[in-house]
Amino acid sequence: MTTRREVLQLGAAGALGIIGMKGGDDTPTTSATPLQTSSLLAPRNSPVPYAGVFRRPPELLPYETGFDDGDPARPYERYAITQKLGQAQIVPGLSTTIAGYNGIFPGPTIRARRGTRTEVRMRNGLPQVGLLHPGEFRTVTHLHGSASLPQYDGYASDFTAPGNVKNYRYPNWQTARTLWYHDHNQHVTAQNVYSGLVGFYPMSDRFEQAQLPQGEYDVPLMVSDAMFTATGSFGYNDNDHKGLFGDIILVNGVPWPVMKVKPRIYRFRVLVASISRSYRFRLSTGDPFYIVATDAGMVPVVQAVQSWRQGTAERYEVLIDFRKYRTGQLIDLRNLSNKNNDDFANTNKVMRFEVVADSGPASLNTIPATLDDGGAVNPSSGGVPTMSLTPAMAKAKRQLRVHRTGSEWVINGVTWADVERSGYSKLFANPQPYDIEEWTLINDSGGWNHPLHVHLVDTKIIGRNTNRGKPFAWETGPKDVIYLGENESVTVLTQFDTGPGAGGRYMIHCHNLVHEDHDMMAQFAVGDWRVNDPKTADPPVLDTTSLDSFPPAYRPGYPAGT
Amino acid sequence: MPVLISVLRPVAVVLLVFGLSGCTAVDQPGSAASPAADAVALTGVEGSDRGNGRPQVSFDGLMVRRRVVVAISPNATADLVALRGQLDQAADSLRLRLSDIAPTVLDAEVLEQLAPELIIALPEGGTVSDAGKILDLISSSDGAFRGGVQLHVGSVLVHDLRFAVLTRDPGALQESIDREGILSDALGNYRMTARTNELRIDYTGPLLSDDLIQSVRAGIARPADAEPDEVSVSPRSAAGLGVDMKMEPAPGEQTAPTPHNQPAH
Repeated sequence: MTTRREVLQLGAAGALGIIGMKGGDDTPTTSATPLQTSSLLAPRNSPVPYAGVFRRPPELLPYETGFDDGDPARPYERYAITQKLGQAQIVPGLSTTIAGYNGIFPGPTIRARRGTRTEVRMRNGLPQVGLLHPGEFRTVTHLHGSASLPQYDGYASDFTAPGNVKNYRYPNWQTARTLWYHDHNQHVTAQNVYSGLVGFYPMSDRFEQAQLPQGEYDVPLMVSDAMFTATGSFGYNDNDHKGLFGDIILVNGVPWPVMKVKPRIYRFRVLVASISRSYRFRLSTGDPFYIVATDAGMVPVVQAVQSWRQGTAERYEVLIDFRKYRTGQLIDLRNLSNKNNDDFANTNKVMRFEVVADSGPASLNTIPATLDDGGAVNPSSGGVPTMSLTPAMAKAKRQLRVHRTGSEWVINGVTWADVERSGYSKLFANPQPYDIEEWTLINDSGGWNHPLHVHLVDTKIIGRNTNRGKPFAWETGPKDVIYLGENESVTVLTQFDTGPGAGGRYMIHCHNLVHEDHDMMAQFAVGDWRVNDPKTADPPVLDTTSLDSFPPAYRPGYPAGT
Repeated sequence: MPVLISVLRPVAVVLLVFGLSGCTAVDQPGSAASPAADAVALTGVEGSDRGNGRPQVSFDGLMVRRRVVVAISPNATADLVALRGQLDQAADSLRLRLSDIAPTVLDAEVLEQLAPELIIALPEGGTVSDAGKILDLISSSDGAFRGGVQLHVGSVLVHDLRFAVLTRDPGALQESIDREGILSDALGNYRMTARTNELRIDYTGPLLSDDLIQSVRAGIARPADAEPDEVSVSPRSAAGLGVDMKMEPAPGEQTAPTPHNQPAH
C-alpha cells in the first residue's frame, strides 16, 4: 500500500518537474523543467477553438449476456475492459500518451438498462509505474451514481495492482440516470482521472425512454480541461494540492470541437470530468437550456435556465432546441466560469454547434414540462422517491464541515489517513438501511469551492444559505454531488436505500480530486459497518488470461462531427 | 468560575485560562511579525479569488471599510444557535447590531488555524474593545463558553458596494438575476432593491477582486440587456472612512496596532 508519507514524498518529487513519457516506452521519466501553469505547446501544436471535430465515445458491447439461473426476469450482461496506455491525437501534430479504459479517452460508454445487472471485468493492464505519478500504477474503479455493494463501489483502498483483475458487479436497480466510471485510487485519483481513466455509463429505463430524446439525439458531453507539455504529454500542476486548472477545454477528449446538429431537440448529458475546474455553461444566443435531469435522474419539473453552474463530477442533462435556427447557423456553448477558478484566454469557450439540414426519422419534438421517473424503487422496503423526502421524515440531523487545517483538506476535522489509522472503522454516520437523514454541508474552508460527493445515495437539496434559502433552479432534481461554493452551506435529505443484501461502508469526499487526495475524504456505514468489507469481500486476483482474451467490440457509431 | 478560552493569534494558538472581565485578549490587525511559512501555500493565486490571499482590489476608498469581527471555534457540543443569540443579546445591551459575515474576511492563517464555525461582524465604527465587552458579557452569563472555545477578534477589510443598473422592469431583472445564480456564486448573499427604472444590488462582505467585480457587472448587465460598463459600482454610503488599498499592508505584515478604544478605520 502506498503510505501517506510516500505520497507526500511523491508530491515533493512532482514539484520538481513534469512527469512525461519517453516515446512509446512504458517507463516514466522525470524532466527537470519547472512546474508549468499553462500549456507549453509550440504555436503549430496549439489547438484553437472550433477547429476540432466532435465525436462521441464508442459504445462497448457485452461479451456475454444471459439470465441468472435461466430466469428471464433476471437478465445480466458481462463486459470486459482493460486499463492500458494508449496514444491519443488531442493537440495538432503530436500524440499524447493517455491511460485509459481500453486505452482510449474517454473510455468506452457502457449503456446499461435498469433491471439488467452488469458485471465489468476490469483488468489493470497498465505499466508498473504511474503515468503522472512515480508510484505503482494501481487502480480502483468507481461507478459513480450506482448503489453498488461496498466491495464494488471503488473504495479507495481496494486497489487492483498491474496484472490483476477485478470483476465489478453492478445492480442497476435505480432510476434511469447518467452514471460514469472513473478511477478512485487513494492519494492519486486526480492524476489517474486526469490521465484518462473516465467513461460514461448511462442507465435507461422505460420512463426515461418515453419522455426524453434517444439515440442520435441523446449525446454525452464529457467536459474537462488540461494543459500540455511541449511534446504533447499531459502537464500536471496541482498548485500545492489546491487544484489543477488547464488552459485547454476538451469535450469528449477533443479541444473545443464543432458538432453538426439538425434543427431538432437534442439531449446532452453534460459531465464535468475536470479534476478541479467548475463551469457555468451558457449559449451564445442567450437561449435557454431545459434541465431535464440531474446527477441521479430526471427532475420532476423541467427548468429553463440561461446558464447553470456545474462542478466536477456533477451531471446535468439538458435539452437544447435547435429547431428555430437556420441551416448554417453557429451557436457556441460558452463557459462564464465561477468564483475560485483560474481562467485562461479560451477557457470561456467549450464547443460550437453548426446547424445542418434536417433529415432522418422523427424524434421527440416537444419540450416536456414535467417528468415522471417511475417513483420509489424499493417501496416494499420503505423506499421513498428522493424528491418526495421531507424534513419531517428525517431520523437524524448531522453537520458536515469541509475546511482546511494543518495544510490538509478535512471533513469535520477528519482525513482519510485518520480513517486508515482507525482500521477503516472511523465513521461519520451510521444510519440503518432505509433511514432518512438531514445533512447540512458547510464550506467554511475559505476561497475554494468543494463539490461534495456522497457515495451510495441520492439526495434532495432543500436549502442553501444563499439564494434566499432555496436550491438553485438547476439543482431541483436528485443529486449525488453537491456544489458547495465559497462560504456556502447546503442542507440535503437522503434515504439510505442500499437495495437487497447490502450495507457497509461508503465514502464521502470532495470531488475536486486534488482535495480528495489530500485528504478530504471520510466514510459512513449503513447498518453493520463490518459487512461487505470493501477490501476483502471480493478482492482482485492475478489475471491469468492473455491480454487479447476479451477483444473489445463496439456498436456502430454516428458519423464524425455528429 | 474561570473560563477556558483559547485565543488565536496569527501564527500560534495560545491556550489561556483566565476570567474574561476587563481583560479579553484581542488580536490586533497585522500584529504577526511575519506570515507563517505555510501561509504561502494557503493563499492561492496572487490577486485572484481562488484561495485566501488578498485579491487585487482597485474598487477601494469608500467602497472598502474596516470592520471588527469575532470568529469563534466552539467545542464540539456547543449550541451555535444559542451562542449566536447570546452574542446578539449582549450586543443589544451595548446598542450594537451584529451581522453574520463570511469566513473569507479572515486572513488565510487565521482560517487555517482556527477553522471558525461562527463569525460575526460589529457595525461600522465598532471597536475591538466593543467586541471584548460583548464577549465579557456573555462569558459571565450562563455558560456560553462552557467547555472552552477558541476566539479571534480583529479588524478586517470588507467591500461595501452598490451595483446599480437602469432598467425598465427592475422586478423582472431581479427575478432573472436570482434565477441565474451568478451573483449568488460571486457574492454569496446580497440585497436587491427595485427602484423606479433602476435595480440596486448591495453587498457587504469579503473583498472582491477586480476581475470578479467585472464578472458581477457582466452578470447584471446581461439580463438587463446592457453593457457591463453601464452597471455602476459605488460605495453603499458616503459617510465614514474608507480604505486606500495601496496604503494597506499585505496580510501578516507589521502595522501599528489599532487602539482598543478607537474606531477601527
